[in-house]
Amino acid sequence: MNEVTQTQFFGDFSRLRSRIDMLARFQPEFYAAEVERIFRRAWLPVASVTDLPRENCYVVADVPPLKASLIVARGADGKVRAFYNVCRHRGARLVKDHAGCRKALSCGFHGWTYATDGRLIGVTDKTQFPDLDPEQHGLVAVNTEVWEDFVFVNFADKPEQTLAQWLGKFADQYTGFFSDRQRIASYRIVVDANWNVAINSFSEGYHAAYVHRKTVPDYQGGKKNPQRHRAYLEITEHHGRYSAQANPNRRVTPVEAIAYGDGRPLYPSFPPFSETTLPLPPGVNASRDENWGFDVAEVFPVLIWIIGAHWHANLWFWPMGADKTDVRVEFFAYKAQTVGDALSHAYFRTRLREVFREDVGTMEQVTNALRSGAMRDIVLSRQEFLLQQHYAVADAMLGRSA
Amino acid sequence: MTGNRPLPPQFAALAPFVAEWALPSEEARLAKLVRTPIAELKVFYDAMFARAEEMKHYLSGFRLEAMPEDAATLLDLLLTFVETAHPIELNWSETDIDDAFALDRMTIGRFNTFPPA
Repeated sequence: MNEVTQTQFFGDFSRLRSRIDMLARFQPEFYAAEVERIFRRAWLPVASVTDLPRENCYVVADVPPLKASLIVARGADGKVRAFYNVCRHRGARLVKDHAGCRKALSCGFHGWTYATDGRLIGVTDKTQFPDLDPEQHGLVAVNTEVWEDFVFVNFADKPEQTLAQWLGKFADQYTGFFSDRQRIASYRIVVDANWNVAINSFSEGYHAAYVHRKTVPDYQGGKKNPQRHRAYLEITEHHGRYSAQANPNRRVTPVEAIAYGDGRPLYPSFPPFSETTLPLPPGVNASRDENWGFDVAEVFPVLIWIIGAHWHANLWFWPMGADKTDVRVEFFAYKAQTVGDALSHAYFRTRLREVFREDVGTMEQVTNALRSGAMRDIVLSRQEFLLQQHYAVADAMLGRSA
Repeated sequence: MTGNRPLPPQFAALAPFVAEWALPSEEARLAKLVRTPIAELKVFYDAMFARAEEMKHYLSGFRLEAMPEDAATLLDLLLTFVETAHPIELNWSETDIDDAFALDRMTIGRFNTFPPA
């Protein structure tokens, strides 16, 4: 059968498989292997630099698969580090709120105090610890690297790759894109779904005409691309991305016209690419498609980006077990200065929120159906190459033969 | 807090909507949306739609971070309108989508990884 496609494909697709065995992935022992062989070895994005605006600011980042709570802090020296959120005295949770700016972090259990660079700087009733060397009892650090607006950590004793190596081609293709933004919405949902199923809900566009028929019925497709093929799809060593095409004949609803009339157009409004006044880095709309709508990228294993010209969404899928996933979502947009900008933000976050809720609505159904053993394999199309890539990367890290 | 909020005089006709619809956050607007029957939403939508461009024009004279009290009421009405228009404009039969993920299991706006908005 001759392939009819409007997609430009890039990358080495030779290790991808169109049939994926799913039932095994819901077993606790399989999940234990994923934790050790994927989550303990991968670079994991855990926080946003946006949330560390100045020295001595911190956020707490929970990393469920490693059962870890981290303090991500910008030290007095300006450097961003991550530590286990654990007091070195008896193991109490050190920081109990989730963000703040303080010069010293004090434990509520016995009052030990740490600087934001992790040094132990205060021990109460110190003479009663005759053999304590404070220099040996700073907070326990985790490998940390900052890339663009993301703080990545790696739980391996010695990471196998640098973050730049791990990101590969992505590393220098998004320069500046995620900066100078405002978080305009965030959501969290704990779903009774396998994390692979959960992240798979967001890395193909084949579902959009069906799942999203009530919320964005005509934003993609149109006469020239009725099957809504991706304009561009690329896989790298660990990651994948695609560009979705807009439907130039989409119906703009009256309130969308009001909301985007004075501010910048956000999802699902996609003006011709040549009208975008922003300089966009080469990773965004990589094929420079004039009819560009938005990009989706999977930063393996936990993060999905949805990227438009003036906005982006980060979607995290943190496994809490073989069939429980902590889904965290945040929408960012250009900074609001005017009432028109505030209206743009309001329309965008609520329209995309409903689309997101439809996607999440599929996860538990699919997990339950597959867990029943009704079928052994799922079958994936070429428009679902990012899912094939997800499993190729996962299985390679797990040491499973294809 | 919404009951007695002032409106600019030329928008006095919108006063009956203030208590229920001049809401200060996405979370409050969504909660109001899904507990409102769609026929009642349509009444609010129609009243706001008729004045929306005029409201925008009036508000464009103010800075977001320095909004007088009456203009702030008007802005909350307008933002609630924008955030709750989807069921009307997308022809839903209810104010929530039946097969989307249940709202009572979704936390909005603050959770442990991110600071509060």
